[in-house]
Amino acid sequence: MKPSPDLVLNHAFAKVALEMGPALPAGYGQGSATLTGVLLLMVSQEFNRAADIRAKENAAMRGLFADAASDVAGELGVRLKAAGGEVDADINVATLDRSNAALKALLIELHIYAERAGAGGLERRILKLLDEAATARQVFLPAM
Amino acid sequence: MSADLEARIVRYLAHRMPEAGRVSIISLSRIHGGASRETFRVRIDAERGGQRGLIFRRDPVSTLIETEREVEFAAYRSFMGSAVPVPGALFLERELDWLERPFFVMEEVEGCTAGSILAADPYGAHRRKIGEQFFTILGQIARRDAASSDLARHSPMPAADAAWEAELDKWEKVIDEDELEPQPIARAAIRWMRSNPPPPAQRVSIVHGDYRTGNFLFDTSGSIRAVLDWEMAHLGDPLEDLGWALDPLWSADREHPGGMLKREDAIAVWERASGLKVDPAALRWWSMFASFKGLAIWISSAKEFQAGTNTDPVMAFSGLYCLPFHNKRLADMLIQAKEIAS
Repeated sequence: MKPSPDLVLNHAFAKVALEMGPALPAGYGQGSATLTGVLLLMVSQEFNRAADIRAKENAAMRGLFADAASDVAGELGVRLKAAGGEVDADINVATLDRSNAALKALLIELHIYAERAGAGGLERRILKLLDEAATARQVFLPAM
Repeated sequence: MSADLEARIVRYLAHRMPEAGRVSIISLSRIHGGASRETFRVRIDAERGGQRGLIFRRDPVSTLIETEREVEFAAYRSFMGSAVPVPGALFLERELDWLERPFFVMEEVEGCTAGSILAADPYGAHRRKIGEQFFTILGQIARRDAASSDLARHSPMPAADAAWEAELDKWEKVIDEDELEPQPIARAAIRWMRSNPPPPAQRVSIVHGDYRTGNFLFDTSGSIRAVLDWEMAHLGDPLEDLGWALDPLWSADREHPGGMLKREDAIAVWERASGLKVDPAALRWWSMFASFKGLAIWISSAKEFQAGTNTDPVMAFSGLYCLPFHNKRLADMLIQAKEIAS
């Protein structure tokens, strides 16, 4: 698709936030126009990476679950094993988001288990995974 | 702006300010800012009293907790005439006939501006002067006798050792109700904060609840003229406000919280003004709480936007930018907390 969507959104940001917004009278309209332009910039960042971020996050959680499953007894261990073997049906962002939500719910359960069991190594691995995921999802804005 | 709104405001002012005689509107415009209230700047010309500026803060269409506007109004009144600069709070109106929704009216503080959290250097040459005032005023808020304030009639007085838990419960509930997807970092932070509570508050004081860059007005000489946006005010641990004010989200310049002073300088100014000493462990807890509370607010904003109940771009910005920011910050703090503990 040319022009590429992220480029279109970048230029739309410049037009709305840096030209149209400042041309409006100071007040609610100007502020909203400028911020709407900033939203376009953020969505342009997200366009290219959205599926990649989610696919990697899902893979990381599944890898963790597969590794942890054998050390976790009972029903939680069974669900971890099952989740660890799943794959995403496709790489549409909505599909990946649905898997991501289910995996995160299970990750919360595993994290609680690790804290209660005093499984320090597992706990550290979970925190590292969460930190890496949070880093990947950060949006960067130019100072304005 | 609609002529209908102008006419309604004229009718209301004639009712509330009969001593002013005939009132006409010179200008009426909506102010951009927080999405918790619709804020209008109204310049009037009164037959007796002449021209003056007023601010109308009207409840949004989407629901908010009924008591919040009462709380905000009471918070302003708690500091009128004090060293903490606030605009005069004039009228609180609950009747729906006037502007369709409840609202309150304040004096406009003219000739001022607010800093932006996206600005590289929001205060320029006045950075230090404004920073010293900013943290001094925050210390003065902490010094104010809470029990005798207007706010004490609208906000429960927690025990010194229970202030943290009341706030943590409140914002956990917001996440429980509003999360659109599971929040593993927020949940981990909640568990950590409950397992590692801060020491009791040195003093139960008025807490502004949203004290940061963007929520105060300063003039061209670098003097802070008004502290605004008290809708999350309550009684609690004053370290809550300090942790919030120091959060890195409030400035693009991460070395200077809020784009003002270095963190250690800010704490020193606050200690002098409040008469309190900052316990580093307690501030660490309240700093984590600040990012957690921010996360709860952004989760709630994202839900409102996603549901279409409030499509102000501020709500989308909160979900797209602020939410990942505070998730990352909390993840960092959780790792640091584990390292300290081990």
